[in-house]
Order: sequence, then structure tokens, then C-alpha cells
Amino acid sequence: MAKPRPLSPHLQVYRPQLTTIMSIGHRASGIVLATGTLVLAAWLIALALGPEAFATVSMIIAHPLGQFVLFGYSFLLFYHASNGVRHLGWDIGRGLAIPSLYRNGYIVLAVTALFTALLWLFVWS
Amino acid sequence: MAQFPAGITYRKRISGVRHWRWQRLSAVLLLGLMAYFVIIVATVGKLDHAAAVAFVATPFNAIGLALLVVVGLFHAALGLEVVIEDYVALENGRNALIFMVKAALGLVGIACLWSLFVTVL
Repeated sequence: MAKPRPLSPHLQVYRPQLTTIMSIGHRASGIVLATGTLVLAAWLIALALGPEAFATVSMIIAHPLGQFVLFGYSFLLFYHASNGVRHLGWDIGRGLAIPSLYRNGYIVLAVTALFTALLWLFVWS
Repeated sequence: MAQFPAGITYRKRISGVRHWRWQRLSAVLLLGLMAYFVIIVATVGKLDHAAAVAFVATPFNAIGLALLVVVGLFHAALGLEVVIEDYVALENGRNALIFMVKAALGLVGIACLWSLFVTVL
């Protein structure tokens, strides 16, 4: 660059806030969820390959570690989806004022926790 | 005429609007598909192979899963593209990385759709 440009302050000088954490969380959850398509792909490929491959994948998924990973994916999915609705609201200019930003932020977290709990109560019952 | 940074053409600026629009459209579609997908995962997890094949082979579920895979991977490709654009400089191989990520997602999609096709047959 020929022209020296202004630098934005470094990230670590800011105190973490609900808004900033939820913002980067949306991005991080999106990246992780993209890798989640590999799990879906593995399940579908095993289904096509036959009973043996399917039994192997089912065993991995049923293992506590597999269940833990799926639990994590479902949590991130509910977070990304409900925070995505928050984003869509912003896109049409709704809920952008600071008080509503915090209110709908907490609503997103509550919805995420509620849906994750409901799903796994259903699965494990 | 506005000056754009090296590697970004006027054409690319126009397509940014398209990118934004498709990201939102796929997001709205995915809200419905995700609800359907979560219900599937909750029910299908306990099925054995024969029951799972019978479940997936119904037209509704086969089309639903295919839509989920296509729209989901499309949404992921658009999202990851922006993440790479934000953190990887052009001279550090930004475009090559975007291409590789999209190719990988494309392969995952082909594998999913092919598996669905084989299962349904």
C-alpha cells in the first residue's frame, strides 16, 4: 500500500460483551456447522453402502463420544438458526437499538438452550 | 469511476449484492429444512438399516434430504467465502482457498446426492 491507512484498535483492548461474543459466535458456529455436513454425508454414504457400513456408523453415533459431538452440533445449529433470525431482523431494520439488541440477544440464548434441551430430552427418553 | 483494490473488479462488486441476497434466501429456506432435519435426526437415529432405507426412500424424505443437502452446502459455501475474504489477503491465495473450499463442499454434496440416489433405487 502506498498510502498509510488508519488501523483499527486491537481486539484485546475491548471488554467482551454479549453483542461481540454473539457476533463472533455466529461465525464460529457457521464454520463448525459446515463440517457437520460431513457427518450427514457419512450417514448417507453408509446407508447406500449397506447394512455393515451402516451398523459401523450407527455404532459410532451411538457411542457417548458420538452423542457428545451430535449434542454440540445441535446446540450450534439452534444457536446459528435463532441468531440467524436475529440477523434477518436486522436486515429489515428491526431490533437494532442497543436495549433491543441485548433483549433479543438473551432471547436467542434462551431459545437455543430450550430447543437443545427439548431435542435431547426427546432423544434420550 | 471508483477505484477498486487490485483483484476486485467492478463485476465482482455487483455480484456482492447477489451473494447477500442468496445468503438470506438460503437462510430462510434452511429454517424450514432445519426443523425437518432435526425431527428426522431425532427419529431416524434408532432405526436399523432396513428401516432407515425404507424411511429415506419415501419421495417426501428423499426430496427433503436432497434439498437440505443442496441448500445447506450452498449456504455454507457463501458463508465460508465471506470468512475467507475477511481473513485471507488476496496475495496469500484467497481465491485459491475459496475455490478449494467450494470444491470440497461440492464433493460432499455429490457424495450425499449419489448416496441418496443409490439408496432410493
